[in-house]
Amino acid sequence: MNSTTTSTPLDGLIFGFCTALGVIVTAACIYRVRRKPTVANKCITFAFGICTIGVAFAIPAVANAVEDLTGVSNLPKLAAHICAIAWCASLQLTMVDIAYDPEYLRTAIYQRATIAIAVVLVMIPLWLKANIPGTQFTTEFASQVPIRIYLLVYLGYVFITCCELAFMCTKSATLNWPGRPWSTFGYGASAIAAIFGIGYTASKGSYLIAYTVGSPWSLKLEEKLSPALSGLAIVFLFVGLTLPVGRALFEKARRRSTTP
Amino acid sequence: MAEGHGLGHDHTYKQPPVLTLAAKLAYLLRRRPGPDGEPPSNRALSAAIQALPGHTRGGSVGALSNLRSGKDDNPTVSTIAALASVLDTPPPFFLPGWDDIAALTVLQHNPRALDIVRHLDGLDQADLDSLLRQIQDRREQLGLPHTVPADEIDTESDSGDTGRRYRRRRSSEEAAQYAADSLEGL
Repeated sequence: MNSTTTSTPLDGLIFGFCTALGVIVTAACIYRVRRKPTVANKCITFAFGICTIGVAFAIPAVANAVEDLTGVSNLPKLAAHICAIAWCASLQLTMVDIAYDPEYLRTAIYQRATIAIAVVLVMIPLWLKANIPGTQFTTEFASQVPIRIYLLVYLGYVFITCCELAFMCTKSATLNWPGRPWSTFGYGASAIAAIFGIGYTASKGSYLIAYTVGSPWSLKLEEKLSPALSGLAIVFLFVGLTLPVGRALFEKARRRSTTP
Repeated sequence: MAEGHGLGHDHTYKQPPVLTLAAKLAYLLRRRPGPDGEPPSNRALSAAIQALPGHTRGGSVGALSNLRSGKDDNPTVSTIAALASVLDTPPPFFLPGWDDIAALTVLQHNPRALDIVRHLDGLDQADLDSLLRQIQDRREQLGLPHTVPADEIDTESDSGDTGRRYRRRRSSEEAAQYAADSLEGL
């Protein structure tokens, strides 16, 4: 999930912080996946890794450097969006692994991967069609139909993932209370992240839909609200799905301190 | 042999469900899907048993259907041996109460493991906990998973007569526990 707004200093700050945090939580997830190599943990580790790369592309300085290097405008934006789709697909598989028996997992991987690939295959031709010098894939350029459709397809996919995540994380948090506090707080934070994610897609999506029907709301407000919501969503999810590793580390430290 | 998450994690321990022979068969067969992704049919299983060297009787399609549906829970020793051979499983797994297939497999394939188990006799709970921690630390040093949880075996049986798709949701409690165990790295 990245910003699709015109670059502001706030973007650089938010996404720079998210990238740094992403590196830390991905390292923590690699530690966890070595201890407990479940499909869910593998998917979360992959999701955080790819998200960190995607968020790095959303940092204006990085995006400008990539554009200068390749000479292709909006390439970092496309890369960031593809990373976001892969991130969402990984989170969907995490939820499938939690909700279903392992026998269904392989089928689910094919199904979810097909949907994610289909979304990317719709986005790429729209990106190619709309990618002319001077344009940006942001709400500021909502007057261009291919850009509007591109953003709506992307936001729709993220919205569905966030809804699924909010439902599953809320359920996991409530069912693990009070027996498993680490997991409860972790899934609770992840549910809040998903709600911020829904807010992000609703903010951008509603602006685009309102623009389509001829009565858009304030672009300035949308440009301030969306990066903040997406940044909060990323931070809460990073922290939420990594926080429970603390229990393993805590118990390991306690064992070491009690072992003579 | 009760299933659990290790001696050091008794806070997550709960009484395991009673596993029937039919449930164990369903579990083993789901681990060996055919080209269509489905467990082997009774016909395929019967053919495999009858192809075993020295096979004389047993393993008919009807008998296997009864075992898989739970109508028959008392097979002969030769049928157990044949199923264990075809499914590459320790024969004791088919006995009531011996549900930890991972532990049984280690015992079957590693005679030193039997020595170790014999030497656990007489040790108290604290000694066992300490030993488990040492083993887990050693596993970590070797780059192996820190813990080796017992396989979760579905208590549902499968008649083997239908082509139903295996798309079963975990119960909410199962899913929540799996989610917590997974995220906490336990």
